[in-house]
Amino acid sequence: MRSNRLLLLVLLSGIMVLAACGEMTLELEKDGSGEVFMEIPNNGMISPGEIESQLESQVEDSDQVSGFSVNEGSNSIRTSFQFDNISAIDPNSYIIPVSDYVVAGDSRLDELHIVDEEMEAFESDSTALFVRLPGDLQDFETARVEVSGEIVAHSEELELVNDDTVEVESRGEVFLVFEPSSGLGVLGWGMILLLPIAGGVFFYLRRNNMLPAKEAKKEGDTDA
Amino acid sequence: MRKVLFTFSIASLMLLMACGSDDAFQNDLETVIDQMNDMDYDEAIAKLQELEEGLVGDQYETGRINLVSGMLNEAEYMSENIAELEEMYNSAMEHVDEATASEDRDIELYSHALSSIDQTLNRFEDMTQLDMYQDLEGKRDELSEEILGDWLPSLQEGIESDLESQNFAEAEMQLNEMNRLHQMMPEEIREGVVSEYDEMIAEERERFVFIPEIVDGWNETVIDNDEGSIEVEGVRNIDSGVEVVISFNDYYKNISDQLAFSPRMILSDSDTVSGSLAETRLLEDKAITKYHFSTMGGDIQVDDISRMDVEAPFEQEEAIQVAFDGTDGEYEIPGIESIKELHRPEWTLDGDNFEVEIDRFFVEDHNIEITGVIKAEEDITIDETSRAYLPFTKEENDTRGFGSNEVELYADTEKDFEINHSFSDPITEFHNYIDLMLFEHHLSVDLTDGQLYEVSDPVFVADLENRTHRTSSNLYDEHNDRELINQSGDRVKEDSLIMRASAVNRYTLNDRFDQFTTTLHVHQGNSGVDYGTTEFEVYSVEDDDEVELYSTTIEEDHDAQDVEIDVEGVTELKIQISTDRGSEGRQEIILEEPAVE
Repeated sequence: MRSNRLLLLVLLSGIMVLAACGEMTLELEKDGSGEVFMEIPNNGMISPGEIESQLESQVEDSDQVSGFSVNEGSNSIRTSFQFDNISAIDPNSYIIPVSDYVVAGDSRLDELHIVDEEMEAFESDSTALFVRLPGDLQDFETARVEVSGEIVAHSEELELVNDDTVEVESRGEVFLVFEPSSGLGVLGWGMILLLPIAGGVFFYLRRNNMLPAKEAKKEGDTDA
Repeated sequence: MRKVLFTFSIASLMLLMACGSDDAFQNDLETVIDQMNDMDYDEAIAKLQELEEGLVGDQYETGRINLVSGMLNEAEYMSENIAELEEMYNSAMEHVDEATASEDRDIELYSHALSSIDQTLNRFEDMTQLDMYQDLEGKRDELSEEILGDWLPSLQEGIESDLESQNFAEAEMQLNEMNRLHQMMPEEIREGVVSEYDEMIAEERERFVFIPEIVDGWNETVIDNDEGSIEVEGVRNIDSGVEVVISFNDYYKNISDQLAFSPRMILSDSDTVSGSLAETRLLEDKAITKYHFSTMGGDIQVDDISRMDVEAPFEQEEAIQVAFDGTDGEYEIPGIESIKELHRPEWTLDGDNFEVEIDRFFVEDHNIEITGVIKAEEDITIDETSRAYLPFTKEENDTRGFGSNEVELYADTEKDFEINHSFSDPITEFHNYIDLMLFEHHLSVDLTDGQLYEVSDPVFVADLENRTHRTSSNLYDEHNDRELINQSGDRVKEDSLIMRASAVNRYTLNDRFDQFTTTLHVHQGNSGVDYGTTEFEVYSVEDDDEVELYSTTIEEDHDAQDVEIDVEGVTELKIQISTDRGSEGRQEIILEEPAVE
């Protein structure tokens, strides 16, 4: 299974070479999952069926790659699939909190170009995520990576296209760091979970405190 | 109620666990780093292995395992190599201390320190988080800051200041140091910085024929009298041996190139080495010469000198001994600037039936280029020979070739020309003007602006276009290896000449002068009753016609005799002597300051 995963992007780039040119977009979520889109010219060099069978044979044992789709248009063939973790399409790719590298004093951070010129370095309380991208991206004629957040740093091989997108420019180890879009997160969901429980506890305690008072009042009425 | 409280407690715990998972991992990382800094590598390795196992199923499993396994490799590497790394670390730190302890920055020590740091840092590989690594990096930054923030700027300022004071030797030394810094830190000090200052020095050097130089002082007098002096000024070691600097001042400046000085170095082991003239710098009032002393092995040094002997037969028969008691202070050999100018003079020469326009006059080091156009008004034949004479260095050059130098020009036509004159001595700031003969015209040109130059002072006849026979000029009689001393025993003045036997001198005046003056003497060595008499005659020559302008008989008991002759309208001046032999020989006649004006 590991060997299949290793070959997935290699296979895609091989298909692109056969088709003479093509574009690839990798969309990445903050949990490491995402989707790959590829569009190649429909010039008869390779058929949609061949693409589909080859891709499926590569991932038949994988439970982390799914949703294969191959659509033939008049001018192009569009292929896409989803992955649960970026390591599923390249075992050397990964996602890790940038704060881990700050604490470890990892030299990979020194090689990054920080987008915000006023920012000197990452801090240990940073919530940004460091991503090592698949190494085969540069084989594609055009390879873009879109992340669910704002890109705050990247290696020299990447060019920032806009806040959340980079394009692969040259060969080498490609890294980026992005600040995930603000969401509820673990703490937020926890609070949502805890609030009704806390409310119930509060209601229960309040009701228990009020019961003796009501009963005493009833007794007083009778006396009067 | 109990169920509700239980659910609340579990939910809170799960929430805290979720928040704390990153912190826990990072706390473990910090622990490992502390252990590694404390060199507890076995504990660090155990902790990392434990961490690695615990990461299975972690949200960032792949990335964190990659990080942990990298640290594990580092810890294992350190565990195996710590002794050697520690030794390298200590050695690098010692080199840094040694470099920074010396008051005078020693580039070798800094080079050692930096290379030692770099080698050690390389051995640490990616273990940049370790204290030892960071210590070394900090020291490297300190050295870099010192080099880039202080040392390099001081060299840059030093070179600029040295060039202002024309101290090229010091500027070169500072440039060499800058180049060494560049080699030490090629990334921080780019080659462009070095070449910028290299070019700055080269550009400044370009101005000079001879750059100013500083040598160690050797202050000894060889000859000193009312007319001038010969001084040993300095000495230094050079690649091939020893260089000695000698100055010839005032009167002796003019005979410096004629003296058979033959200096000989006596070494402390009684060996002797003969010197050879390597360079002469001609200044306004002195000539500075460099003599080189070298052996086949090229291993003699200043410290080997015992004394120097020089030959000055005109002063004393035996060699003059110049003592050497070690060097004393410094001597600056003056620099001499060259003339490098492109002039666009636009002056014209008017002939009887032609006109010459000069539009370009280029002076550079040893050469002069003159270009222009000659316009004929009638069919003419003209001598295109050009003669150039530099009075300061008394050097002549002409374009006369084999065969005819005449050219035919036709009426109402014009012809471009280019004339080149080349001299063995450089044209320097002391060459005020040049005498030229262009298309049958005599003129003088200011070398600094290319304009016509009016020579107001009397002109020494030897500086004119001339043909001489049996004549020596300029204070020293090379024929007999003696100075020009008159019948009264006095040295004659600068710009004098001696004529012997049946000498005939011809000088081209071309109607440019009004008067010829000189003082006639007989050389002391050939004067008196036993040397006969001499007929001294001066003629004006025009084609084949000769008209006598002056004649006198120089008797055996001759006293100095002033001569003043009207030469207005004279084309060629001919001076001749005829001697009658006495029992001891013939008189030799000195013309003191023969000049036209």
